[in-house]
Amino acid sequence: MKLSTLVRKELGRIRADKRSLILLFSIPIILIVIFGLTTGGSVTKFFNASIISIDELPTYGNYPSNSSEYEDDFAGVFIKGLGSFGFQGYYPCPSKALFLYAYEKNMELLKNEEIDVFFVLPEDFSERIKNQTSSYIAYFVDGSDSQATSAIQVAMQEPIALFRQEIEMTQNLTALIPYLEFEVPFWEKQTLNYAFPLTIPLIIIGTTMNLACLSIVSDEPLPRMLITPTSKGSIILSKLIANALIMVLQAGEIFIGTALFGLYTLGSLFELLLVLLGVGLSGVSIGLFISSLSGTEQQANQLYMILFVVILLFSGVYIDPEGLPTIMRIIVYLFPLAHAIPVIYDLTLKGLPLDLMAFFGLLILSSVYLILSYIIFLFKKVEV
Amino acid sequence: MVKKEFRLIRTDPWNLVIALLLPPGIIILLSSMEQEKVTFSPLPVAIVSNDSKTYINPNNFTKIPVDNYAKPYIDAVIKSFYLFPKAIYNTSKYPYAMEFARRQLLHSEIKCIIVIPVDFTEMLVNGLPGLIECIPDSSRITDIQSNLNAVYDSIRIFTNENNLTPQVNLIPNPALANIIPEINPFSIPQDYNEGFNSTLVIILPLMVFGIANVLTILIIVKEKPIPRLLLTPVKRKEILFAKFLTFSIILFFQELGIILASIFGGLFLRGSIIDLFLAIYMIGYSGLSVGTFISSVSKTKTEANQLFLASFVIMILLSGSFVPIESMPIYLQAISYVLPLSHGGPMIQSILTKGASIFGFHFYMLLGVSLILNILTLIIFYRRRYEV
Repeated sequence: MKLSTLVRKELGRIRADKRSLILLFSIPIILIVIFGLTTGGSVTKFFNASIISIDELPTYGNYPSNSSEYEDDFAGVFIKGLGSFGFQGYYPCPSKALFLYAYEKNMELLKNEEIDVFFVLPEDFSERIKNQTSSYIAYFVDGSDSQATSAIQVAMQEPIALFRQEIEMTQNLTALIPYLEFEVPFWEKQTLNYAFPLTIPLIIIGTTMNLACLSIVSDEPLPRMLITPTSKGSIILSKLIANALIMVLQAGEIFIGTALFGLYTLGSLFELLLVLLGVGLSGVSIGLFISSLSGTEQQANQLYMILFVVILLFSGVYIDPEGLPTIMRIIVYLFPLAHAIPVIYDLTLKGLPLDLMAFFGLLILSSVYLILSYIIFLFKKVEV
Repeated sequence: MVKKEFRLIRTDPWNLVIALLLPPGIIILLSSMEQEKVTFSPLPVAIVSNDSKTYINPNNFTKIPVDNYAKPYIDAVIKSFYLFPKAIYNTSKYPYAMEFARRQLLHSEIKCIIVIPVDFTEMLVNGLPGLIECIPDSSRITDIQSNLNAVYDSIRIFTNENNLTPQVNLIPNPALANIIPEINPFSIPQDYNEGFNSTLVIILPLMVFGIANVLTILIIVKEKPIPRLLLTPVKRKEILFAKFLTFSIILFFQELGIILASIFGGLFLRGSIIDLFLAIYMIGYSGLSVGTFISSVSKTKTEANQLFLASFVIMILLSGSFVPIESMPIYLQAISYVLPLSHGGPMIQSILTKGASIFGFHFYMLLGVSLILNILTLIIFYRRRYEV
């Protein structure tokens, strides 16, 4: 049988399953609409905070008199509103008993994730400021949130600077002023564009793998076809071409949909489309690999799920491949997203030209999965 | 009936092998990767100093040599454990320094440019704030905060070493007022792998839910003996109950394998292991409930597969893993909180790091959603028409 006839037959089989096709094309659009409508968020950590002050407690250090004149100024900075903090409460405590109560209450709020951090102004907070010596603020941050633990010192620079300005204590203040480079501008769809390099390839790979992973195992006429002179190679090739054609349409749809919803890219759109097609091709190849390996549809579905999780896990987002030993790095690079995601970041946000090494890496990976599918299919026993 | 279900599963043993052995295998692989990976490498930066050694008085145009703070700041960057100054440019000598540095940033040779402004020293000498400009590579949203944190470390060293007082310092978790001891709330101890814990919080719900879901999407729709069984005295609810019981037992062993692999892999657990097991089991059970529901509403295997794909992708996208649920429009938040995957991560996280009890909002939401789906499955299965 001619290859073109086989491809037509394969396309006919896919077309017969109209609902799958509708889903294949509607899921990315739903995703783009969701992310396009999603606004807000911040590039840096936002904290919900509360303040306890024990500044009113008497101090017996090297101070002329007890003072608490600056505690309200510090709390006032939070009450007026800050870029990195939401204010959840202020607890001035004139006695140790009240402090203990406020501390336990805030610990409970921290445990229930109603706040991310609480600050305690110590007994000698105002006295030290009056004495022109360095003062300190204690903080208790939710240690289970590693992002919060590492970000709090930087985030506090804003309220501390405003507080020092308020009380005219600007001498020797050294502050950090960030200017973000290669970021998605705030007037663009930040959520959509920051999520694009991970989610769009993930969706393309997920849907194309799903389409292709049942193409051999659930093809009922396949055993009968093998009685005809049609070779197994032609069958695999026709399935690849048919699924790839659908994938090209899907990638094109995603591309146009994202562009209409505010895709922000500094690099070449054509090169971006090429990378998305490369991701789709690897999805089809992995799907065919699963399909040839599986004995039943359920096995194919299970393997699809496991591989989908593994592809996400080794996408380079959770584990940086550069920090791994060579053998483990090879394992990570056996999966397509580790190649695709950095290229998409470079193309969209840095405007760099296409990294040909990574792109060919994707193509080689697709070929390897395809060859493996062919070999497995060659030895697979099918009965009419 | 349960024996019959197990016999049916035994006809496809590989299916069971995939469900029971591959998830713990993936966890062990993840654990070994997390243990082998380089935990920390300093941030490569370029410093561009515009702070000249001369101050020109605007009143009488006399030149005064001033260089009190630019070099000490550069020394602080060099001393910082978190920073690696890959290049140091003085714009008095290299007028195109900023251009070089930006090119390095573009090609990822450095992750941040630190600029010392022209009036840095003068401002500090005159009792005004000294501002350090920092230009981080912001193409990866997840790296922005850590880059800023690393640069801030140099400012901390700079102010401490140059006796720039008074400062308002931040002290984490100290003992206070002779009442509370020094504590570090909910943090993961240093001898445990924080990366393994945080990755597992994301991956576990996805894997457990997904596998349970995919394991059950075909259990009603593809089973050929059901119409014949209905000719016998067996009731529909018994058939369905047998399926639930069988797959719940499989789920039990699957979750047991996952828990053992996680603990063996070095998972830090502050809460009770029973709570963790119940949490993972509940996530799996919700996957099983969604899968059985899909199987009962589908007329063909293809339809079941389609529904599975559509529901799974939407659940992942709205789970809060990619976009925080709070950032979504209110109607999407409402949908998101009904979907099981949105509850898995927070529930596991609170048990692992805060020692919280499983019986909270997320557990009851999962239980509620699962029970509603179970009832709907039963109703649909009762109304389903079968012909021998």
